[in-house]
Amino acid sequence: MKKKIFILLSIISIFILNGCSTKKQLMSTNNEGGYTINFGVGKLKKDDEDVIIRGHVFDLKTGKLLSNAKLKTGCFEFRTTSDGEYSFRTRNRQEDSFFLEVIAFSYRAVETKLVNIYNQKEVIIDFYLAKDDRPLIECEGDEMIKKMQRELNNLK
Amino acid sequence: MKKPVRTFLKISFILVITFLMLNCSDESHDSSVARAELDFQSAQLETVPLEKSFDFFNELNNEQINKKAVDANIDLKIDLSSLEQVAITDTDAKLNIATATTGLEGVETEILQIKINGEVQTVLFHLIRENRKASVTARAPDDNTEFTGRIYSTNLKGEVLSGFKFEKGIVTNVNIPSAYIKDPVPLKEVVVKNTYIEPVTNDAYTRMNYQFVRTQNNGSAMGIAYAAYYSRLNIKNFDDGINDSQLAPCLQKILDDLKKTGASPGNMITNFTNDPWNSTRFNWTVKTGKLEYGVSGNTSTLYKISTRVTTIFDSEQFPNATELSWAKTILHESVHAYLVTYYNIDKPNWESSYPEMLKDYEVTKSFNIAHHEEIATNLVKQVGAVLEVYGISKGYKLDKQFYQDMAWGGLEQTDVFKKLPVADRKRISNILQIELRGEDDLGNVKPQKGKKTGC
Repeated sequence: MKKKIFILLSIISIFILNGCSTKKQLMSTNNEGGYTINFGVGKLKKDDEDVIIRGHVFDLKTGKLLSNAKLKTGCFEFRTTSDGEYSFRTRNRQEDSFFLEVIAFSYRAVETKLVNIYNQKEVIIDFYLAKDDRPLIECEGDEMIKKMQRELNNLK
Repeated sequence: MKKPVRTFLKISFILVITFLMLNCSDESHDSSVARAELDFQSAQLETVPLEKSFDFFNELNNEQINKKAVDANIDLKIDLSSLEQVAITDTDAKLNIATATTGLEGVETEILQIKINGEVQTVLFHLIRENRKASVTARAPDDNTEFTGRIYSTNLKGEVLSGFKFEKGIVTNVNIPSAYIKDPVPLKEVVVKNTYIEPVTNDAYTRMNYQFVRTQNNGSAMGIAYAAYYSRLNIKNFDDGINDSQLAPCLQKILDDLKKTGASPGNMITNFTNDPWNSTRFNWTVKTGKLEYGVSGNTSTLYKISTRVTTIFDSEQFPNATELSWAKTILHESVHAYLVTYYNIDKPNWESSYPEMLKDYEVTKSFNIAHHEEIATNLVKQVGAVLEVYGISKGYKLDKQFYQDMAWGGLEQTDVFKKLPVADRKRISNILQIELRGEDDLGNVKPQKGKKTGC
């Protein structure tokens, strides 16, 4: 009996580990980087108060904090300090329109999904960036590339 | 019932931990190790006994020997009474220096002698001060400002080995005739500030200390020689150290030929950085491999301990490419390799050296664009000049414009290139295509300037 239960549990676990779902299995996007979101304690009391967005930018593999990384949101750009830290205020709004992108030299950029920040006192977003390991390539000649492109296009 | 569950949990836990550990492995660059390999090599300089230098210089002064060894136009006369030995930074070896005069007006000359790698080397240093009266050829400086003018090193025949332009004691330009870049020239380039100390007064005591003052100035000249020697050695070490064991023989031949001239990758990088002292202290691996259609070269952007920076060339895809086309690509890739290495071992200085590249990357999120815009902005002329040195060494008699056009290879997608007049772009594209494929942009077969590599 015990043996049967163990086998059954094992099978269930393997299914779970393999992501046995009816949904289509999607590959992750072009880089391994990502981010975490935590909402600070407390809520804003007034609509016209600003929301604080803050966090750190890390190297995904080494955990090293990345300085001078650029954070873009809406019309504004902010930079991480020498300690890899950033912090800025943004307008409190109900619409799901806040997102943040981080770009650092030699790392793949990461962009958040839309985040609902409405009435949050503080939103802490930490980014983990993967190294940009795409090689440098020499494309030989604009005209030749265009010609090849036509030849390579199966659908013409 | 509890026991198998516990066992299962244990196994799962171990698997998860193992999986996490495997994902934590990090083979990427290690700055400390990378820096360690940049350590200087030990000095190979030795003092020449003063008596030997005296005898040698004396012989040079002998008219009969002068006629044999020294170009009559120089009219070299060495002041043997001025012969002295001066200390050199970072070595116990001393440099023998004496004042000399030549038939050239407005030129202050010194003759220097030291043993390098067991061989006695003698070189002349000629200082030409800016705004100095032609009649003034005395050794002592005539003012207390830092040196502004030009310094040339020549051999005993007066042939120029290197030239340096100074502004207020700072080197602003280095010029080494290509004919002398083939091998490590005994005494070479620059880095040095003039350290002249002006005598406070002209009394006897001060005059007695003249030797000391002179030594300070000679120290500059020596420093130039010393730095020059080692910087050239750095270039040679870099060129010799390129790992080409997996490179197709046809490309190996081109690389070897480049190394024999002032068009070597080490010289290319030095031309780009204007820093012969530091910029070539890294390892570069070049090999042949299969790349995407239309791509001739591919350089890694990660600096790895195991492989350093690696460039792959696809010679198989371009069987009609000439040696000039491949030489251009090799030189171009050497600059990528340098930029990748420099960033990985010294990020802060890299960022201050190449702010435009940082900006380009932030806008485009592309190494390719950032590197190429930088090269297109700052390097085309130099690639052209270096390629010309290679072309001449291979016996080609082609105009400069051809080499300058070739230098745009790999840069046709840059904004800098796109801003060129249409006619120029068309001419350049055609030249590049013909040397690469033996056909122009329209696919018409055209004669190539260079020889096919036989790849």
